[in-house]
Amino acid sequence: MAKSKEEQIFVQLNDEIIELTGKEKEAFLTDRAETQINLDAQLAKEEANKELKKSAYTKLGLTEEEINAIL
Amino acid sequence: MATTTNYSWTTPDDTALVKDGASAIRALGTAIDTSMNTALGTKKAGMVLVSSTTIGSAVSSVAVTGAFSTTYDNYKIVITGGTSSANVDMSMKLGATAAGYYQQVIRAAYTTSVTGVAISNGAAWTYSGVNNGASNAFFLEIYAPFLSQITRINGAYVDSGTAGILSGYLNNTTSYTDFTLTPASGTLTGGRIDVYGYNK
Repeated sequence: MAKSKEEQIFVQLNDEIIELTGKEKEAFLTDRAETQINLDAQLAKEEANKELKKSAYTKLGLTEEEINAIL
Repeated sequence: MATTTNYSWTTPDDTALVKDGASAIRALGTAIDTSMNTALGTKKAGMVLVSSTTIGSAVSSVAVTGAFSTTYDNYKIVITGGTSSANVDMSMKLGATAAGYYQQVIRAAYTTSVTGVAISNGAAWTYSGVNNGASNAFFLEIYAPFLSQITRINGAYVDSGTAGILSGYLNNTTSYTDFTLTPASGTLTGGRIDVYGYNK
């Protein structure tokens, strides 16, 4: 399989645009990957909380329509 | 006698005599003083454009330096125009600080009820704005970034599917002059980052 072209990363400092290479590029990509992991975790937590609420409301005897209106 | 376009202040004609220059300047000064007093009294303009940065093409982050200073305590940051390569959240960091960011986002899709997202001691204010492919939405107020106090933010979170409000703080008393905006993935192209200072 052909290797995909390596992603170029450009960042802007005021009006100057700089290409990141080497360790700086690695650090940027690592930072961004960590941010994405945190975002995914937040969304998963958000979804889990919603499911938990849904389950609790179901136990309380609310209909699906009523639960959807609340959630 | 010649007059200015907007306020009709009297100015000397090209043929006016130089010996009348002092009187002409005095009359012009008085007219300006009267107009300004009518418009503002002793008040100053409330917001002042501190910096304006045009976003380049396909950049993964934008750092704005020298945005905050002792001149103003509180600021508003707005992105106008531009596009993003992905529909993602935009994070903001102050200076080189990569810890101690706290944030709450209360948001909802337009068809459902409210949900919340929290950042506790995060590496950035992860939800400072949102990129929606065709446009960028970033409207943020930032309080006391330059002062040796805790820095606080609040703003709006708006895209085509979701809207809400965001607020948070950075848990240190460091004085900052710079900030960096980074989309969670992809790049930004075009648009303008304007920083306004609240006059004091």
